[in-house]
Amino acid sequence: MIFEAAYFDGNSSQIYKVTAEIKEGSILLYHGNELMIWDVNKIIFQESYFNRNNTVLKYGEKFPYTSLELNSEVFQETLLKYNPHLKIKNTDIKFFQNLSNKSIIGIVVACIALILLSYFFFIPATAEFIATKFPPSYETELGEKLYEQLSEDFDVDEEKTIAANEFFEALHINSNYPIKITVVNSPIKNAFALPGGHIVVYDEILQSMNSEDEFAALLCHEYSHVALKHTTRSLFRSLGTYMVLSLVLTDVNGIVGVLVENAHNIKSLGYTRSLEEEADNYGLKIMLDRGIDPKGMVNLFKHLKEPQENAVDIPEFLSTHPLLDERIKYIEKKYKNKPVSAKKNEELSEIWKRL
Amino acid sequence: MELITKEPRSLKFHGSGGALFGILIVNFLLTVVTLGLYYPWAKAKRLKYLYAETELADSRFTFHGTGNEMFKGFIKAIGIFILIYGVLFLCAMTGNTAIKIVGVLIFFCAFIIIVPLAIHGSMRYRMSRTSWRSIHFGYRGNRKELIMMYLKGIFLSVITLYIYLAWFACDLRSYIIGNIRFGSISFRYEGKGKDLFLMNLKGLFLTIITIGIYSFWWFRDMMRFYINNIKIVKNETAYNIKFNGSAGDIFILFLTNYFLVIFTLGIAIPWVMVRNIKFIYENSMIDGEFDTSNIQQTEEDFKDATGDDMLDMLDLNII
Repeated sequence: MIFEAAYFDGNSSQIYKVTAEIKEGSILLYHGNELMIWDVNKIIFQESYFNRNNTVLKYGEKFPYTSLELNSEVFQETLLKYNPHLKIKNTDIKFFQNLSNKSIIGIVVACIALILLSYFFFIPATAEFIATKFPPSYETELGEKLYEQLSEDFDVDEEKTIAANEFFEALHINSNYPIKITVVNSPIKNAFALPGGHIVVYDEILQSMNSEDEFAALLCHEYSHVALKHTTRSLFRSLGTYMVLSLVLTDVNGIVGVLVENAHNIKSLGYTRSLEEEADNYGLKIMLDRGIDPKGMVNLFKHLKEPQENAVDIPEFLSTHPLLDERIKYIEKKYKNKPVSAKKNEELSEIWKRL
Repeated sequence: MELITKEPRSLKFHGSGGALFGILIVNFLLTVVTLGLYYPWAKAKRLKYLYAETELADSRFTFHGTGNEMFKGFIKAIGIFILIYGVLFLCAMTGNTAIKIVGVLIFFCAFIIIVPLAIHGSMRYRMSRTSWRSIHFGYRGNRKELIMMYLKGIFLSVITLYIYLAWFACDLRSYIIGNIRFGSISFRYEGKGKDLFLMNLKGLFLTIITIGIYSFWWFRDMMRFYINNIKIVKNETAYNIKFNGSAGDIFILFLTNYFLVIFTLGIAIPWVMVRNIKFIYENSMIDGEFDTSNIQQTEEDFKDATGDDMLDMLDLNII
């Protein structure tokens, strides 16, 4: 078979109009009276787009290469017919060009399904798995560094800190983590746990409590965050999700990006709330096991509900903690089914007096 | 009436949105499934297609880069980033304030120096891997010169509250474009910092007082400033390129692209890319008769793609 082609010698952009004849093992190029023979095994086949009517072939042993450019839909086909051993990597774009709108929509839906599947199941499961295998000693080290950073601004109440740590010891909780409690003077009614064992309690929340049971509830709740690796888990989760999202969004325009990001933020809030609920339940279990009055937890939430200066009313779906009414409800429901021997723990009340 | 000349006046794009969609969707799926490792091959496929569908004077461009080459560059680039972040992380973990500060300084310096390094590497790779009628492009810039120019530009921009940025951008463009070769053809960039600064000042001011309407004229001016200042030099004759798009054309293009992307939730992006490429090609014309038949091969082969991959990771777009 004979094709009209343009030949380039690799030295200049001069066009040599040639006729190319495909044979077994070679391509013969005729230019006027001249004949050039291309050994098909020395043709450098680049990834090409099959079924496209334009082909550029590169030929030679070293740079600069000569090349042949032709416009024919059957050239590659013919070349392969005569030389079936040649390996031409092709991306068949005609397949996509001829796709019906229905198939395009099908492909897109399948892609979206795949992304959602990995976003909702695969990534979280992998992240949780890695987080549970993450050694506690690393967590402790990480928490220590975080604490160092944070504690620069802390006004620590030394006496109360000692008392709080004794209080925690008196709860007799066996832990993989070295739990260290710090009481800080601050007008904010709050407490939080860092990965690996640090629990920080603001004095304001202590002042609002009426009994040792409430403090026990608070410590059990925060301790649960540590023991259940909540920070580490959410860290891995957001890392994993972030990687997938950034992969998915690289080519997507700004508006879609913002929408997806916000949707993701709302979903992460939900995850944080589920962790809070987990900590509530686990904390409650610790309390019940030690015969501490679970009402302490309910009362704690009630105090937290008391109006605080510059507090904002946030609708539940935007809040990281389940709303306190909700929490009170599910905690009450939980312990109502269980017989509680709410006896006073003398040791705890003694220490509580110092707080 | 204008005579139809045989000489090329502009580039032509033959690609279709459907084909590009096919390439991008397969790329996307493979990249996700391989957790990103497929990226270099995906990029090679995309570039090969876009180049192969670009025509000048009846001949197509070829992108010679391969996924394997870019994968090596990709791994090196990742290594460099891990090293930079690793140093920062280790310094942060020591807890010593002095070491922490040193760590942060190293981190910022590394990031400032990595940008010109990446631009240099990327230009050398991309240009060398591009050919038309077997004639390869090339980049002859000097790495040290570019780094010095970059550091000076950053420094002066910061101390002049970014006013110098316009001059910096023009210096950078004229250095980079001035070092591009297309065989025996060279290029020149003649944009002046003062003009760019005044243009942007005017554009910003008028865009604000017209509540954004002027932005299409501003964009047209930017395109003109960028394209009209590029000169093609062949045998000591300079040829001008002219951008002919009007603000109205730009407005319609942006508006339709916007709705295409929004209403298809981004699926129309390949079609939008093709529309943009066609718009730029069709509206950029070489002024005068430009003979394409006797360009000589002058450049060498260059295969290291580290700079190109680094530039992708920094998410910078220079050309």
